[in-house]
Amino acid sequence: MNKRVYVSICLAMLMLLLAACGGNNGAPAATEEAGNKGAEESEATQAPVEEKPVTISFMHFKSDVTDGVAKIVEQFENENPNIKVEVQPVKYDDYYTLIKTKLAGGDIIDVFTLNSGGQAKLFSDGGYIMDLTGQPFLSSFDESVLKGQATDGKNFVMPINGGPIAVFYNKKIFKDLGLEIPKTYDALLEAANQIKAAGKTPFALGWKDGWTLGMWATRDLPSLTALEEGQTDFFQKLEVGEAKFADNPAVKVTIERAKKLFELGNKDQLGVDYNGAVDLFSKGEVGMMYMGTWPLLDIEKKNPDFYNNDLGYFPYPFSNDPALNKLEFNPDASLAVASNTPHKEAALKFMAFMASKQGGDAWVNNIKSLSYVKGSTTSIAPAMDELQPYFDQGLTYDSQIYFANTTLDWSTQFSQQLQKYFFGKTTPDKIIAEMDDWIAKNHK
Amino acid sequence: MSVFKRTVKNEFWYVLFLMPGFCLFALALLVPLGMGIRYSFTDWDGVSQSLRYIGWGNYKNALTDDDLWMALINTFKYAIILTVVVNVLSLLFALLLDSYLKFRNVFRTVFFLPSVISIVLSGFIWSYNYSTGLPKLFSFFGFDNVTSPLGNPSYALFGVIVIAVWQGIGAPMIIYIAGLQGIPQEIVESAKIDGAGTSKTLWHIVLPLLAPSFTINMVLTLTGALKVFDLVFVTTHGGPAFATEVMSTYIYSSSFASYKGGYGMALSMIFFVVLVVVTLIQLSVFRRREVEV
Amino acid sequence: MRKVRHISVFILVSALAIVFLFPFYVAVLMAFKSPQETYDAFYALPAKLDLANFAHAWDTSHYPTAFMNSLIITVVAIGLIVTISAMAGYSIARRNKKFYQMFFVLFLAGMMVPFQITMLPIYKLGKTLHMIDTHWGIILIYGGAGIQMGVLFYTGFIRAISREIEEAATIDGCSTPGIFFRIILPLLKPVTATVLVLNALYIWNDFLLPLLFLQDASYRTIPLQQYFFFGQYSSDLNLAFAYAVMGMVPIIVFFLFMQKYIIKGIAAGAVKG
Repeated sequence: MNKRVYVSICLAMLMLLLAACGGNNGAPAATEEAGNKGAEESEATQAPVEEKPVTISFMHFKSDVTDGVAKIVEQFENENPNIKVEVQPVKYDDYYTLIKTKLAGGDIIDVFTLNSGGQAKLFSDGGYIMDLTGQPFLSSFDESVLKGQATDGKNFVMPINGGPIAVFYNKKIFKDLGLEIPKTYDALLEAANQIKAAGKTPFALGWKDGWTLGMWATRDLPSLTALEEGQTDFFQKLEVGEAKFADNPAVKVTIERAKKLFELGNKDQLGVDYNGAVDLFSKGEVGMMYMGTWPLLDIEKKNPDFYNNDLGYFPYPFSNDPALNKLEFNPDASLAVASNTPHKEAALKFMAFMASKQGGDAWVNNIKSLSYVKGSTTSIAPAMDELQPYFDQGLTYDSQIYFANTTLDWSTQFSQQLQKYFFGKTTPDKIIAEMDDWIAKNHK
Repeated sequence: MSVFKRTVKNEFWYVLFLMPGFCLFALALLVPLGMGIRYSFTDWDGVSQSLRYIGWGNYKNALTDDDLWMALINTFKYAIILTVVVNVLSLLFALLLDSYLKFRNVFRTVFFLPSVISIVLSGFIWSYNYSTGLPKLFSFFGFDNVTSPLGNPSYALFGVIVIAVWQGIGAPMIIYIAGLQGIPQEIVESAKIDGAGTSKTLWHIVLPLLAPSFTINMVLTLTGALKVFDLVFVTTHGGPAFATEVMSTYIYSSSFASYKGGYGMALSMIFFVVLVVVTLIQLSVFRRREVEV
Repeated sequence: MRKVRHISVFILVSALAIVFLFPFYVAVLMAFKSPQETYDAFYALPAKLDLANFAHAWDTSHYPTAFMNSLIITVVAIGLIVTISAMAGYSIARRNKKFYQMFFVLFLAGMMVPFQITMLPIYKLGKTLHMIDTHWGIILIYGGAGIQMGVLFYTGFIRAISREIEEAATIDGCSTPGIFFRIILPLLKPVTATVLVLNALYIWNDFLLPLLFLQDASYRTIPLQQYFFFGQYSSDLNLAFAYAVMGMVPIIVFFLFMQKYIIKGIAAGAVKG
């Protein structure tokens, strides 16, 4: 090799090393500076303990909007110069394994996101999270929201954001084919078939990621089970081994629907991930996409014209009875404080910021999702305005409450079984039998 | 007494030299293995302090666990196909590079390059190429229905194998090249003088003399492939429809994601026994060949 | 005729090389383009040489920290492996007693136990001994794992060294450590190079052990940080690829410089193994 190339590569490596050392030294210096500033600003009456700069850790699973969350945290840090927040975003599919292992091993994560319901119960049962009931900042939320996210009557998690899970649709394709917004499941299927007949893809599916298929299955099945079959306590019974999948006619319906969706999806349904599906949909070649509000930012970036003019959003009609088809509205990330945090004050300050009007607006503006903070706007995208009537008339529901107090995670197993069925490697009856086998081994 | 003293004096330093290595070995392997055997007889969840002894319960459950058999079958399918493909291709590459060829060192570097990057990276790059890059490339040539093999349970394992081949050819190729260079030129030349054609020379002279390299490559690739974890973990997590669930990922998800630590350890021990059996078979094949030579 | 064959072989090998380099090409291409450019024309070259992705990845990824972690862990662990394996190998090679041979067999048997089998107990042990999220914890584990192959190499190599010098030194009153450090160690350079490169590639690229032992962001090595970074920027692939390219550069540079030793090491390893 040429000598000059040698020397320049060596120099580059050396610079990298120096930069690395600089980076390491830089961090504490910055904290110190922030601390000094905080000390100057704080009043003389304050106890010296509080003036010390503290660092709290914040782990979250909103890793598709890492930069947006970082901006929110930055706002908090600017307001509280002596609290530094170390943000740790983790992909949702790895999140719970990682955080459970860390907490059980005695590590401290001061504040972290949790899903209300089953996960919140698991963590509160384990004694890992602090009871927040009665904290003043909870008054920023509606009583009904707090009640919906309570675990055994107590608030272990604070709602921060939530949103509809519904169907995005391409208005242009719908208009060109003369399609109406479907109000029943059969109408949805009919619309999809017509889109397919017109040579376009009916549904964008990013099922390579485990959660995308799981998200649909864990909403379709409980909606059908509780609202259509009336078995509202099915999942609680499943948890303790008193009910079986075989006893629930809705299971078969969901299995068949999954296969239909698969057939009406883009090609390579299990090879394309969430991001790929959003990509396809943004191109304007796909009719519909079942999703939360998360891809809005992305769609706007990728195809602003489509985002502003042709993007629509309607509630997923799980039933053939239009009266049952309200808008699914779920809590998304909620926040919890570790019970063993040594920085309780700072952690609660962080929570209070997230609950404030300013914190709520920060979520809405930076990551285009809805906030539970009272008075926050829902007008985050042109497409969202279509859902406004449902919000105004209170026509929303939350299918997740039907397994709110259960911790048995059947959805991963169920999704894998569904994938087998897509490729003709099993039958619905076999899936149900295998699921019941699995539940017999894993229930409490 | 003086005998004892002399022994101590003679052996003191040697034993002391052995100790740091042994202590770390115990820390990294002996103690965990002992703990693992113990845990495999308990209902330990993998993280908490409490555990209860349940005898052979985990092992009984494991033997009736369909998922274990599926994972074992996938593991062997993966390992055997990979071993065969890697050995055939790396031998071919070695022969090509050993023949008269310009820039042969450049080519050797190119074929070895994928082996030096981390599996996380290659898994990431390939997943993306499978789902986006290759379909786009093929549609450019008019094939519109190319889909990612990782998204189809029938092909997912082969999709993973392709990545493993891409990354795994470097080292066996170099071992074959070394083997080829170790073959005395006179033997090859004299065969040619005796009128043997290129293919005949290759088949009857070169390949038999490569047998030691062949054995080593078979053993190294097979044992490595049986232990595969990273690649599956970063590309498919064992899916779709469990098509790529191998032993390591199954043990990992049982132990860490499903919180069945005791059960995960029983699975580990069963896997360990399987690996010991495979190693013993390999060794006996190895021995027999050595006797023949 | 001969020439035609040479040319066709050359073309065949070149085609294979292009196939092998294709994934790298896509990665580099992605790293230099904006999402909009990728979206418009996947395989087109970027309009201009834009380092924005790299700048953004550098700012958000703690790359220098990850690089330092990888460097510290790899260098110290290799130093440890070389030292303890050479010492243990010396004892085993020079004492032909059952006691020492037992250790030799034990180390060799250890190679049969894959890490996957012991990962859960190792994690638990690491927790108990406070080895998680430290550099020394993972280094010690690498030491214990690396000694198994290390001893095999060193024992074989030292056995082939003549004892005459040592015997002369003993008569001159040199103690055992003196002999080892002054006489034997300098002779071990070739085998040390082999042990060094084989372990360097393995430790630098290892994923599973860091996944368990280095969960805290400030201790992550490059492969682990990459895994999490890909998860964090799942919606900005161009950024993720910029980081991927940044992660590849150090090890590829190392490989290009050390190529001779790496290839020698693998060939030597094959003969021993």
